[in-house]
Amino acid sequence: MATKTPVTIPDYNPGGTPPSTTVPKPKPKPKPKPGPTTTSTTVPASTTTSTTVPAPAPTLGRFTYPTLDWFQKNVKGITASDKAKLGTLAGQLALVPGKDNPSNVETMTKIFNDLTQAGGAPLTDKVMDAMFGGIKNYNWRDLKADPSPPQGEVNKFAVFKARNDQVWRDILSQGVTNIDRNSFNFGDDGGVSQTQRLVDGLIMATNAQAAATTKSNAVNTLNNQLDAWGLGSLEEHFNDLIWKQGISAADAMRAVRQTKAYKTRFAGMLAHNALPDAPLKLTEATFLSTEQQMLNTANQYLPPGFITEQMVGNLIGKGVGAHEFDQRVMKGYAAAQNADPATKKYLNLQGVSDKGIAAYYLDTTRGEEFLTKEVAAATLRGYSDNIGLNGFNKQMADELATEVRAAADNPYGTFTLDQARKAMDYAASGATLTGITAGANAPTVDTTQLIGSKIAGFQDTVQEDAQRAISMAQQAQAAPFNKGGQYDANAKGVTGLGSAPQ
Amino acid sequence: MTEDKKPAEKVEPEMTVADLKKMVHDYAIPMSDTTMDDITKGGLTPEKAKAFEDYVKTAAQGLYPTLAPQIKAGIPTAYLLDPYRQIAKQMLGGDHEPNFMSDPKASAALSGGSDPATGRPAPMSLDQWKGHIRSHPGFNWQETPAAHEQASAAIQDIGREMGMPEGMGQ
Repeated sequence: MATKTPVTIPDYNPGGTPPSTTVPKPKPKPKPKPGPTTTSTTVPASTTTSTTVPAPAPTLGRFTYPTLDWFQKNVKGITASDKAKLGTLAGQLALVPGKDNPSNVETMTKIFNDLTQAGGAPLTDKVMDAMFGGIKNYNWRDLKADPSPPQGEVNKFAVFKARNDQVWRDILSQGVTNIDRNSFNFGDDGGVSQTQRLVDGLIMATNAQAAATTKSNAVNTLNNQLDAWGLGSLEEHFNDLIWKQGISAADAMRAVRQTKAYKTRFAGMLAHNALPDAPLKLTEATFLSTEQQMLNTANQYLPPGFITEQMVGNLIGKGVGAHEFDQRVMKGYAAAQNADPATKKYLNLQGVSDKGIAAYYLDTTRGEEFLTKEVAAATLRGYSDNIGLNGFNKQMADELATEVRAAADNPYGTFTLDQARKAMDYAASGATLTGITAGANAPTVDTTQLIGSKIAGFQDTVQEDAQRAISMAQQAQAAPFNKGGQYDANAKGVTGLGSAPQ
Repeated sequence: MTEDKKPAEKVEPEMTVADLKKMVHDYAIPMSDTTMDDITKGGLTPEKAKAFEDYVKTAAQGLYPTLAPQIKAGIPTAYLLDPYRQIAKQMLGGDHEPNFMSDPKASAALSGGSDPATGRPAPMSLDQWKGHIRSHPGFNWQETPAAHEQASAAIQDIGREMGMPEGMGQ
């Protein structure tokens, strides 16, 4: 375990808003005298020491998300996937002033869900530790391990975990001033919003980690190497055996092989070596190398997180080698490059790359779950072009995509993408009901109603009303053929006697 | 004719204030110079010195309960602690002086172990003490050259055990 150093965080002043009037103002500090970079500190024993001001420690500041640069400097073993993910997060974290601004809550919730829930694009353990390791009693692994928060609680889930009272008490004990303590004002009835608590927790955690990593020590050296090898989950065992028990590293490795953590980490290798027709037994080194090779391929051709370390392990355990994996991924990527141009057009407009499409083609089920709202919207718009569905606009696509079931955005959506497509098929087949075929006074429906008859609540339609309207339109459309002998009619009324077919 | 000689009567050397101070140090008892001066005020008689020695031993047994039997037998606390002190100096440098009296991370040497017979706290074994120094961040052992050497060796050994090519991870 790295040494945790208490940190002092800057005075509480989110978004530049003035501090609460109930909080006593700190006494103004005397202005520093101009001069060289030395300062005098008077200590109670009436001695005066002169110390050189140290270089400023990494300061992340309130509402400043740890940057990619910070991670690269402070966290060893950062992977290409981490870089991509952190870059995305940094872009997403555009918080706005205003302590209870809902968009902030939404932003933070999305980031937390993204980081912690299954289906998100996970960061490696090392980076997660860097972000959350500074908070005592807060085990982000627990959060990650529970992919099924209670329905309706998705957004609250991460927030709840992070603001658990004990966690916050621990956070406060790590260097929050009394002013901060007052400002936090535990409870939901005032004080600082959940968003700010989350942000502050993140920042303090990263500050603590930054402080801990400024001093290089032997424990960190070993842990960093273990992380670089992908053995972060075994750190605790190695540290206990090598540093505390003082046994040799070779013996430690043999002992670690007996642990549950090892058997989980190397499950793929153990399964592979147990295959009756395994061409050769894998060592840890060859397993890790194969795993890394496959992950590199996945990172290069698929969205971050689509293929996880565990999935790669499973594949290796079933006898899939790096070469075969490359071929499979490339097949999906090639399919993506040759994908339906209409869908691709909209996907590209939404900023979706071929990687996302490749993921979909490789595994339709998971790919669909993996689709973000934007991808789903683009897919639906492309589909509407292909089936000739008129009147299906961007707003409609966005709404369907918002409600569609997808792990990344909405694991509890009420319908699947396939059901959405079927509703659109129905709307396209009912296009004749949207035009005037039997007369101006005949009831007609629009695309919204046609889809709304299949998807409850679509565009605020009432499903039963939509179904009734369609039924009436269908009857009206059929009427000229049922009312034999009646006169033709148009907007101006009866037009004549009609004519017999020639 | 031989002259009967009486055996020379053994004369206890007179104890000085310096002796008392050494006693306090040897038994690792916290005591201020002012208290010492008050005790020796009016002269230091052998009786007073003996009473003081008894007091120091009793106090030491109370302060270091896991060492009480040895202290009662007359072995000064400092002697009993010396192996721990020497190991700490070897691992952390000659300047390091563990404070077994008031520093919890050092005093853990005296109570961090467990008596296998009774399960009560006992002094650590010297191996336990070494492990304690290595793993307690307060000692900053991780920052010593020896620790870095051990980390490098551990990385090499683990890598070799896993079948990593030579030089990987260095």
